[in-house]
Amino acid sequence: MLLADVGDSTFFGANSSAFPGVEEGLNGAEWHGIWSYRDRLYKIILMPIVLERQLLGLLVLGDLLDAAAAAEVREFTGKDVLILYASEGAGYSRERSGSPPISQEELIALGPFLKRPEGMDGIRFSTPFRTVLGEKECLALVLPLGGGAGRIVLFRALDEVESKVGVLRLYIMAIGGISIVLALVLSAWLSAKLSRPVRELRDVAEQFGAGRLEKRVGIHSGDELGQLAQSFNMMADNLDFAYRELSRFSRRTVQLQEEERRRVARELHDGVNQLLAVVGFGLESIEKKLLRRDESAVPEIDKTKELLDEVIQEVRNISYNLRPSVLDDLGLMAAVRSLCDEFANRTQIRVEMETAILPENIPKELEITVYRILQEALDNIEKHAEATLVKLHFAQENARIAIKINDNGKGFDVFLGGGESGGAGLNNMKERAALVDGVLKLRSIPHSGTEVLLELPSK
Amino acid sequence: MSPTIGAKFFIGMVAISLTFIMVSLLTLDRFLARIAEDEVSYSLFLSERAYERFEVLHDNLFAIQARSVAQTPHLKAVMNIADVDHKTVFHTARELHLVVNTDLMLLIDARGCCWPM
Repeated sequence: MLLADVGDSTFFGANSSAFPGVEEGLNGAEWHGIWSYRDRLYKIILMPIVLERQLLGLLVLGDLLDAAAAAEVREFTGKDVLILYASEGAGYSRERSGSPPISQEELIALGPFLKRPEGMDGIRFSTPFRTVLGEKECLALVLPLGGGAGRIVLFRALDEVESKVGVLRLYIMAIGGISIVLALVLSAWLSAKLSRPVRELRDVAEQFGAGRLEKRVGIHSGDELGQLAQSFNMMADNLDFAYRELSRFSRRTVQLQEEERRRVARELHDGVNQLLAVVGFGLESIEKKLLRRDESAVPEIDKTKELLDEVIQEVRNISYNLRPSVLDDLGLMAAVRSLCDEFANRTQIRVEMETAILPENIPKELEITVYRILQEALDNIEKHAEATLVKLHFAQENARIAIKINDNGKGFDVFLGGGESGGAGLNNMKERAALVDGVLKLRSIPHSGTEVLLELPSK
Repeated sequence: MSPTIGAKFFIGMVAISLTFIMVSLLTLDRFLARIAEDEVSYSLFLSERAYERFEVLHDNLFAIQARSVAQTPHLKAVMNIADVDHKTVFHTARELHLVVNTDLMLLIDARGCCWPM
């Protein structure tokens, strides 16, 4: 606005409220401030014109706050600038660089940020806020202008930044999609790799359960699955071994039964049958002599009675060998003593016994096992050892019974074995011990006797 | 039918992977948006600082211009003339205004009245 445009003569001094600073100026002081002049806001500087201490007048220079500031700020900052200035805190005028005029809705949206409380003018409002300007979402910053009479709003539309972010977002989504595909593939591969040993273990276990005892699991790693496979294979080996042993025991049991039956049949045929035949012949002879009233029948009757006693004794021996009745009647230790006495009487080999107090409730199966093993051991001593003394030692430790059988015979090399028959006898003893969870150990040195150590559970 | 151990592994790993990827993507997205907004905020802050400097310079320049004009001997001489012709004052002021090029220039006499033009 030029000086020439002012077409009236106004007494500014009477309008001190509308034109502040005039009184100060007339008193010779500079004044800086804001004037609202003809509906425009100006940043004003009021300078006294003085000549030789005499006030000649006042020079008023003003710059428009809105357009000029907007242009200069835009030039200075390179940002979109919205200039708003307030008059009495209401009714905004505005001018926006390079954009359409601000709408009423936009003003309403900005209003809360522009109407700062009293006393807040002049401070920096350095908190950016989101608002909508020109139908675009913007980030705006409000600055005080002209000592607080107006506001400068700096704003930047977010769509430009959003478009750049959108491109980045697309890249990220693409990377995310690729990552998901990779994750799926990796998960499928890893799950297949991890579950393969488990499936293999399951398949082998199924086949093993179906009777294919030769099946084993491949060990591909040293981790927990590898250790599980190793344990499974070890268990399978043990089961396979136990199954084979069981089969062997079964066959051996059948074989022993047959041998026992053959022995009993042979003893009945060779012993009892022969004796009974002789008794039969004797009875026929006696009958004939009695019919002839021959007195020589009397001694023959005595002889036949002796034969019958022999038959009875033979049957008793067979019965005793099958199942010693003393074992059932008097218990293990009495049966062992009886066996030892009978052995000593028959072989003239002295037997010494050291016995501990054994539990009373030893199972019958265990008693017959001890008895048979002892019987077999004495039988071996009689047949092979050429011993003159046998020592028996019974002991009980914790829940186990330990029986030691020593002889002073010729001994043998345990690594070479005790001959075919001796070997069979030793195997019989070991098998019998194993059947009741016992252990039989053999120690022998040639010319230094033999020791048989039998350990059995007492229950 | 119960799912196999392989299927359980697969489902578990897929669930974990997808959760991780989705959380990462969402976090990255929020992070990007935040970075963008911070960038804009920072540029506005720089503008604010620039404007503050500009305003100080502008005010200083404005004051210097006003002092220069007010102390112009020619203007003082014209205004010191008793019953000076207002047209003379106008022409003098106009020449000075062309030099300073401000949006508004007024001259007020010692009584507080604007020179009528």
